[in-house]
Amino acid sequence: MAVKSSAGFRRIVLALDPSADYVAAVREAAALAARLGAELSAVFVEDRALLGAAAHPFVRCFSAGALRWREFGVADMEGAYRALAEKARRATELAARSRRLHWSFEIVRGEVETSALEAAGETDLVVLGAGMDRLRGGAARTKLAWRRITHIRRSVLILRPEEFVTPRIVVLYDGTEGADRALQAARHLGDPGNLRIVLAANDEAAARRLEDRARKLLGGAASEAAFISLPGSGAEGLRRFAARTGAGLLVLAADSDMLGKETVAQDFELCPCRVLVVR
Amino acid sequence: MADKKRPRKRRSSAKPGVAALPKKALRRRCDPARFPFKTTAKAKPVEGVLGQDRAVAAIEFGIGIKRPGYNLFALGPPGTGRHTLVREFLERTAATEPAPPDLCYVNNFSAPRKPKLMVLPAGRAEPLHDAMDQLVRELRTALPAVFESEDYRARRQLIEGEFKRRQEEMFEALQTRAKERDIALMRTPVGLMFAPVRDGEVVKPEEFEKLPADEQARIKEDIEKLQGELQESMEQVPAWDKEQRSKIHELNRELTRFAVSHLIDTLRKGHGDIEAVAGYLDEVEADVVENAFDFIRPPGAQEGEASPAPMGPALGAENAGEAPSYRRYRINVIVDNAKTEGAPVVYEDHPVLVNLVGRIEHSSQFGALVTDFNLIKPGALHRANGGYLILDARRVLLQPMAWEELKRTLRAGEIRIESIGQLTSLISTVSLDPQSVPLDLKIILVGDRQLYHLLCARDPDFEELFKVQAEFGDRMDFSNETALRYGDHIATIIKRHDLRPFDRGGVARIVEYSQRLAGDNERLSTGFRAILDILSEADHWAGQNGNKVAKAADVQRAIDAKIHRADWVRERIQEEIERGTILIETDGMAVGQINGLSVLSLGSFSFGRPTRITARVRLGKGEVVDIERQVELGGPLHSKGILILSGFLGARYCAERPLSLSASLVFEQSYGGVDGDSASSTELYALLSALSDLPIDQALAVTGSVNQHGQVQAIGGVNQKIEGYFDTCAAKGLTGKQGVLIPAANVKHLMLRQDVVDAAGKGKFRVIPIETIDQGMATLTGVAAGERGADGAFPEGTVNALVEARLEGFARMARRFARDDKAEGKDA
Repeated sequence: MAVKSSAGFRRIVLALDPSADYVAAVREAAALAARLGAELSAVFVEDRALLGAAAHPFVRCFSAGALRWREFGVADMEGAYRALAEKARRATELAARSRRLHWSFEIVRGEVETSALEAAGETDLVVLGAGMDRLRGGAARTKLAWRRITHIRRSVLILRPEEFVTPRIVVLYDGTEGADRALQAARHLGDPGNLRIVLAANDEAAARRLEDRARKLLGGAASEAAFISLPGSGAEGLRRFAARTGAGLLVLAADSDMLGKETVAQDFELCPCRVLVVR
Repeated sequence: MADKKRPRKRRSSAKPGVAALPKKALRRRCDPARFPFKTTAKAKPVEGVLGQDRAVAAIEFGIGIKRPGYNLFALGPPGTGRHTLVREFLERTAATEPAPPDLCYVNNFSAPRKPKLMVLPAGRAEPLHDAMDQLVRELRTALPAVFESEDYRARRQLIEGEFKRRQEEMFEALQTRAKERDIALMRTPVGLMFAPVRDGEVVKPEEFEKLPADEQARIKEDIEKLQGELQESMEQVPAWDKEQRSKIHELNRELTRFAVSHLIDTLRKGHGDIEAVAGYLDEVEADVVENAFDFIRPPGAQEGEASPAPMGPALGAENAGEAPSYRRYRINVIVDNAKTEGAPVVYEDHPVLVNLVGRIEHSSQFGALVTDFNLIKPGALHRANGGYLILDARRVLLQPMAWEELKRTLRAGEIRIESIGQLTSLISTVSLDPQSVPLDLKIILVGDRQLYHLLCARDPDFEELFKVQAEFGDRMDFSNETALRYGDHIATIIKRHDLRPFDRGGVARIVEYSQRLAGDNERLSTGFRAILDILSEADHWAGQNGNKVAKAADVQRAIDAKIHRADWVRERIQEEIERGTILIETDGMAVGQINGLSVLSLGSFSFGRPTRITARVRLGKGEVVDIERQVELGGPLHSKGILILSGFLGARYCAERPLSLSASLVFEQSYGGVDGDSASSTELYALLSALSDLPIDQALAVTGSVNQHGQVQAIGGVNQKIEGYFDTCAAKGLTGKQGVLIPAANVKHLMLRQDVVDAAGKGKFRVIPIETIDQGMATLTGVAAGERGADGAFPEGTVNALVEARLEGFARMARRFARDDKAEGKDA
C-alpha cells in the first residue's frame, strides 16, 4: 500500500507508448517516483486503432530503415507489441529495483492518453511521453490530448524526447488554490534555489500580493527561490521564459486560465522542457 | 750433460747451506716521517685515482674521440677504482658540455599507434606539458559553454527546425492528400502504414467489407498511390538527414574553432617558436575541432557512459568506436633536462632490457591490456642520451636480451622501444611503435679482464662497438714519490668518506698493508676498496678506543680483527697440528721426509699451512709416481712439476744410462685437491734425501718450484706460507733452528707479519733464500751438494755423489735382472 507522497502523489502512472522512447521515460518516471516517495505503475498501451488498421488485408507497412513496403497483419502487430511490452516491463523492473520502488506493470488495449488517465486515481500523477504519434491526426490529435488533460481531474506530466539535465523549475503562480498546489508540488520536485516563480499579475501591487502569498506557502525555502513578474505575457511568454532560463520543468495548475485557450496546445507542444499540470 | 759442462762455484764443505735473510729484508717498513702532514686533516685532497695512468690516458682518449664505435670498456680487478675514475672523468668532461635536449612523446593524430617523438631545447618540455594540461582544462570549460550558449542552441534549433519542418511538411502534405481520400497515415511499432478512416476513426475490416465494391477498389487504389508517394518522399529523408548532420557538424566546427583558436594561440605565443611545437599545435587544433564533443558530456549519457574515458584512447579505440579522450593531448616528457647542468652521466645499476631501452606499459581495462603513448617510459639510454652511460658489463650480460639490444642500438644509432614480447615475437598483442630516438651517447662498460677478453674472442661485434680499452692495474710501483702520493690519496679517501683523521703512523701502517695486499714490498696495491674497508674499520676501533685521531695501533687492530673474523679454519688446522693429529715435525732429522707449504684460500682470506711430504724409492723403470695424481687429487700443474723432477734426475744423474728408479711422492694427510708447482722443489728435496739416504732437517719447511736444471723459481703466497709455518713452530716452541726455505726470487715479495719479523730479528726463526736445488739440499741436510770435478764425478760424500751412486746401483740391479730374465727365457 503506497503512502501518499509529500507532494500529494500516491502513484506515478506512466503511459508507455511504443512510439516513444520508453526506456528514457521509464528511467525518468522512476527517478520522479523515488524523489516523491511514490509507487511506480507502468501502463503499456496497445493502440486498438492500429490493430484494427492492421486487420485490413490490403494494408502494408513501410519500413523507414529499409525504405520499402512489406506485407503485414494483425499477428505481426500483436507480435511487435508483445516484444515491446516485454522490453518495457524489463526496463520498468530494472529501474524500479535499482531505486527500491514498489512497482507494477499492466498491458491495456485502447488509446494511450485515455488509457493512462483512466488507469490513474485522483491522487496519482500521470506521466505521458512526448512521442505521441503526431502523424495520426497531427496537430488536431495533439489538441485533443491537451483538451483531455485539461478536462480530466488528474495531474499530468508531459515528458520531452530530449533529456534535460538542468534542475531549474519554472512555476506559474496566480494565487489560486490550484496554483498553490502547483507551487507545493514544484517545491518537492527540486531544490528551492532552482525555483523560478512566475507571478501572473497585471500590476506591481498584485504581483507583490502574489509574492507574499507564495512566500508564506514556501516558508523558509522562499528565501532561495526567485520571483519574476511577467504581466500579460500568457502561455507564449511563459514558454519563452522557460526557454530563456533553460528550465527543465514547467509547472502550472490545471485550472490556470492559460490552459483554457485554444492556442495552448501549440504553445506547450513547442515548450522546450517537461510540463507538469497539477490538479 | 749440461750440468757437467757448466762451471760451478764450489761451496766450502765446512759451511754448507745458505744464510738466513736479515730482519730488514723480511718486511719493508714505511717510515711515517716521510709524510709531510701530522694527520690527514692537514693533507691536501687530490683528485682522480692513483696508479692508473694507462687507464686515465685511455679514458681521456675514449671520451675525447667523437667517432662511432669508440665506446669504452674499463677492465681490471674489482676495487681498483674503475667506477670512481670513470665517473669522475666523465663528470668533469660532461660539465663542460651542453645539456642535451628534452625528449617527449606526443600523440600521432593520423596514426595513434606510432607516437611521435618531439625534441625540444632543454627545459622546454615541462612548461609545454603543463600548458597542454592547462589547455585541456580550459577546453573542458570553454567548449561546454559554447555548446550550451543561447547562440548555439538557437542556430542548432534553426537547422533542426528546418529539417523537422521539411519532414512535417512532407507528412502534412501526405496526410492532407490522404485525408481528402478518407485515409490516415499511421506510425506503428513496425513502421508506417495507410488505413481507411471514417470520422477520424479507422474503418474496421468488417465495415470495409460492407462498402460498395467500387468504393473499396477506390480506397485500395488510393492507398496504393499514397504508398508510392510516401516511398518517394521518404527516399529524400536520408539525404536530408545527411544534410542536417553536415550542417550541424559545420556549426560545431565553426564555434569550436572560434573557442579553441584563441586558447591555442596563447600556447603558440609561448611555445610556437619551436617548429615542431608549432606543427604539433596545428594538429591539436584540428583534432579538437573534429572531436569537440569529447569535451562535453554527450546528451543522454549516464554516469559512466560515453563520457571521456579517464584512461584515454585504448588502442583500437578508433575502430571500436570508443570516445577518444583528453589524454591524447598530453605531452609525455620522457627526458627532462631542465635541471641538468652539462651533459648527463648516468649509471644504470640494474641494466635489464626495459631499464636500458625503456618500455611500453599497459593498463588493464575490462580485462584487456591497453596502452597509449602516455605509457611510454624511458630507459637509461634515453636519460643518458647526449652524454654518457656507465654500465656494469657482467650485469648487462646476465640480463636476457639486454646485451644484444644494447649492441643493436649502438649499431643502428637509434633507441627503439620494444617490449620483450615484441622482440621475441612471442606475443602479438596490439602495442605501440614509437618513433625512434636518435642516439648520441658514449657507453662505458666496466668489467674484469677475463670478461673483456672473452668478449673479444667470442663476440664478433664487440671490438667494433667498444674500440677503447681502459685497463686498470691492481698495483703500482712503491717509491718515495709514489708513497707520498699514496698518503695524500689515503687522506682524500678519509675525507671523502667522512672518517676521523689518521695520524702519519696510521697512514704508514696503511701503506704497509697495501704492500701486503699487493704481495710485493716494491709495489702498492691499487685495490682501494680494500683500503677503504680497513680505513673504515680502523676508524671504528679508534672510536671504540676514544681516539679522535686514528693511529697505527687502530689500523693494526683493524687488520688483526679482520683476520680473526676469517681465520676459524686456520686456527682449527693449527690446533690439530699442535695436538699431533696432523703430523708435522719441527725438529729432528728424517730421510725422505720434508715439510712442504701450501696456501688455502677461503673467500678473500688466505693462509699458509705446512704439509708433510714423503718420498720412497726402489728399483724401477724410471718413473716418479705422483700418488696425488694417481688418486685424482693432483691437478695438471702439480703433475707437470713431478714430470720436471724426472727430467732433472735423468739429466743430472743418468744422462748415459737408464734411470732405473721407481719413486713415489705423497702429500701426507692431504684429503683435498693439490695443484700448482710450488711444492716441486720440496718434492725433489724429499726424493734426493730418499736416494742419498741423507736425513733432512725437520725444523725447516720449504716452498718453491724447480725447473729441469735445478733452479728454484718464484712462487705465490710466500708471506702466507712463511707465516703459516711460523705459527706452527711458535705453537710448538721456537728453537732458533726453525725456518723456511723460499725462492730467492721471492725475497722482494716479503711483507711478513711483525711478530715473524721480530722473531727473526731475535734469531728465533729464519727465512732462507734459495737459488738452486744444490743450495737447498746443503741447507736441509748440512751436507754439501757437490759439483762434478774434472773427472766428471761428484766429490765423495756429497749429496749428489750419494744420489748418483744409488742410481748406479739401481741400474746395475736392473741389468742383472734383465740378464737373469733372458737366461731364464733361454732355459725355458
